[in-house]
Amino acid sequence: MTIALFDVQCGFGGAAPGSREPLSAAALLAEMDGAGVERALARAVPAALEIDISWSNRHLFAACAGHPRLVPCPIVAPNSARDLAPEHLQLSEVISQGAGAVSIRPRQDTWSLAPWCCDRLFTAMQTRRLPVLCQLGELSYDDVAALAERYPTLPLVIIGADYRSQRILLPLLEAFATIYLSIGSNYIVQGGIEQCVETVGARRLLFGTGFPEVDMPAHIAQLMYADIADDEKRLIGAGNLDRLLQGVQR
Amino acid sequence: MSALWERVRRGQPLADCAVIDLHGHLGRCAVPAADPSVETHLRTMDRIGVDCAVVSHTHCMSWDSAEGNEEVLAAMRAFPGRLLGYVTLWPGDAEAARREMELRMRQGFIGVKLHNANGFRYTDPGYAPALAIANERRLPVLLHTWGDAPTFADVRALAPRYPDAAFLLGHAGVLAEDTYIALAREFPNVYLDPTMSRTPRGLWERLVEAVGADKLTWGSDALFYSMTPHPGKVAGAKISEEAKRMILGGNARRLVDRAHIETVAAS
Repeated sequence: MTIALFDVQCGFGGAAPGSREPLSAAALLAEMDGAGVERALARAVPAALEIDISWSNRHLFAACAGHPRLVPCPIVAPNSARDLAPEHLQLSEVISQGAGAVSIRPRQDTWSLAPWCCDRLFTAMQTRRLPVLCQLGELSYDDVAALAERYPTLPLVIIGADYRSQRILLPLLEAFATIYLSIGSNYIVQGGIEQCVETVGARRLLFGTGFPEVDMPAHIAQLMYADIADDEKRLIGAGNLDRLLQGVQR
Repeated sequence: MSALWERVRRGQPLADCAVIDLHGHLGRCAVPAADPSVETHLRTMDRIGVDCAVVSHTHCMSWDSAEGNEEVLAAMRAFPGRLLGYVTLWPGDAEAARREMELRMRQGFIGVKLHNANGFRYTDPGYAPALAIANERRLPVLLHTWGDAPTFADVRALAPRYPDAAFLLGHAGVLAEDTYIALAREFPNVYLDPTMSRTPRGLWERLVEAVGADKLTWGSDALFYSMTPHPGKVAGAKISEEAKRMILGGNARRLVDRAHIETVAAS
């Protein structure tokens, strides 16, 4: 059995400090071809040298434009310093450019998750039902829970969960139906996929890899060898992300 | 597409390929596992097509290694041939460690797993009698390593001192990749075991190129984490099919076959 795979946790375009050149869209597509991944929600990663949100997004959109298999996932931030476009205009712009979701980097871009700083942004994203990628490290589990409580219809996707986190993740997924979990790097919990599916259902997990930090095959193997039904693998593999992207108010 | 990767991509067992997990564990630890039972572990192995796993108890990181070894023995006897055992040791008393090693050798354990989370160097005198036995029996000795200079110094001391033991450097390449490569090139009895949760992109390809597939072994570190991602790392690597087969099981079979091991009596 093969199942379609839509990677929620990958990217290209960024350069790690010390690397000779940024990873190209062609390199991501080659990895997808070799591993058998049909589509990818692509961010600009590594993110360390992505220091200018507008510039980074512009490059991402341009690089994805010729590749229908790549769905851009740009960065947004609150316009709290009046240096960016107003929040609703940021969202109109990225959606018009084909964004399927957005990522936020409160640490790297130095803003607060408190409502007095970012409520306009999150209210606008909730109105648009635009999935928000929440990279652990940029946000904590408590931060994600607080957002889910404040914006109860906004889809929040946790990426970067690790194999030690199940004692937190399971109750978090149970408590908030709008939180989704990428099973990409470094979520390799023993029996974790099976336990999540049994507890909250397969609709809450999304296939992801963590490329380019890691190669794609490990997380494909993890899904394919999971002890769950084929229909559940299909939902996780691509169905759930397709559903979330179809829900975006364009 | 590689035949082995094709099987992984379809979720099929890796049939007609020896697959031996040389870095496994049983037991509970600080990392939660939904179901750490031996039976569930074996079902996972069956889904992947893992012929056998060589396991130590998670107590290798703690002080009660004997109780852990006893649990491993029970699993070896319950599932002979599917689960093989590494002895783990507490080096506080060298004579006690020697007795524990001799007991487990009689019971059919096939190697030694040492973890330095206990605060002891691998060159600690408490380990010396057990390592001498490992050398006499030509056993695999799996060392937890994490790219640090003191551990590399221990490997440089032990590899020539016990030339017939096979030292497997667990988590090889997690850091200090060049030093791991240098050790595997320098010592014929040092092997690299790049088992880790987050394998840097291209690590397997670089190691095959640098030291050759015959110096690499495959493991999962289950049940610290799931076994399921790990076959993909090798089957999906951009290396030859022959290299994949050597890494997934051929090299492990060679290392186990050369060791002097007692037969395990089934329970």
